[in-house]
Amino acid sequence: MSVVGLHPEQLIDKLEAGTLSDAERAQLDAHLRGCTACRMDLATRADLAQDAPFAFPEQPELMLRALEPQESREPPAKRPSTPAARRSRQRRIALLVVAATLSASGALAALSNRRLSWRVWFRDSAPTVAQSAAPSSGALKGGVRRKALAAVAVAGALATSPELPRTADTSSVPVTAPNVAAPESQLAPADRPTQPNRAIGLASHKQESAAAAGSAGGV
Amino acid sequence: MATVESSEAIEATDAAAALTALARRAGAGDPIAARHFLRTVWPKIGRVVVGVLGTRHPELEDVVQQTLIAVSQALPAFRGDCHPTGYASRIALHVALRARRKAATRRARSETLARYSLSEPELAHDEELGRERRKRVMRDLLAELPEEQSDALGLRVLLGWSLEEVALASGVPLNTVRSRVRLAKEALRRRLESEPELLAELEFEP
Repeated sequence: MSVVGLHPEQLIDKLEAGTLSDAERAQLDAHLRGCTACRMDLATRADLAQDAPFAFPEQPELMLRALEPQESREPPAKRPSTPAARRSRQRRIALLVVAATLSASGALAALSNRRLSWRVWFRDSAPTVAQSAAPSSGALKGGVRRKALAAVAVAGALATSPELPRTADTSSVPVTAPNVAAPESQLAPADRPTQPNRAIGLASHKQESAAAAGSAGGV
Repeated sequence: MATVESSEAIEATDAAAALTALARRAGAGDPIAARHFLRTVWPKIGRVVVGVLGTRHPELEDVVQQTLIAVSQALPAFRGDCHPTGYASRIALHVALRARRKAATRRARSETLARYSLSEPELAHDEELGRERRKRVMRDLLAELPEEQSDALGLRVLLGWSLEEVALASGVPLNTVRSRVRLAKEALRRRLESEPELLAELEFEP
């Protein structure tokens, strides 16, 4: 029996069962002298046998729950729909609608103010900023997004600025900005605004805002 | 002698048949049968889990629960082709080895954490240190071996099962088990060659 290639597993089994004869023991010993793997096998068995047994956990609920078939698990009980519950639900929905409207109005107002301040600031400094800002490939790719933002800026300015004429024709301006502009997470990595490109994007955005505002109202 | 052996074999067969019936009832959703089955196979399962993870592993309790859940969830798929205890033990071995591999990955990520959570305890005696080292080497090897080989070697070393019992538990021919054990031992031998300190402790003492 080759020491390396074959291991006397039957003899080890007999040793484990306590049925090893003297001749077999001698045979096993001869193998063990040259085989570290079998020595390690037997030594580890002896080591593990000394470990204290681990007690059965006394928390069977978790595993028994896992045993239950999915269909037998009761769905959460529906609460009875009383008139009072219905009224309460309607009240909650009405409150949610009011809160959503207020939030939207606030957001629009904030957006318009920002666009207006940019526009006013831009009226004085836009040419120099626009000339100094070299268009990046990322900024060029975001053309649709810039147009949408410009449209929002124009709409906000028209709605709030007393300086702007109310007769401006906005029918050609895509005011459906949220639907047109892709969210940043959906843009290609090159189109994602990183810190250095942000300034360039802002400058080119201002340039376009000015152009859009100019075409709308001749600022 | 032959009569005693045959009667023992009959008893073992009857016990296996009874346990198989119990496993099937448990798999069909009988919670009492499930509890009874888990209690019956628990000594082997517990030995496998503790054997793979060690008694001081910080996640031992969690892995025990995971093992019991895994066995419970696998019972509906039990066809009775192998011994129910072997079936449960193999599941326990896989769950425990997976937990050990995960712990090893985390240990690699954070050596500092490993130093406090998974380090070998301070041992009073060299003998105990040697025991822990041997167990660690065997556990690491079982976690690294291909699944079939770690099944075969793990059931033999952790549970002391014979080749026939491993074959019965795994549902594969005896020679396949023999081959898997041989390959696993070759891997063990190679591993030992890289651990001279451990190799020195394994001096043969007839």
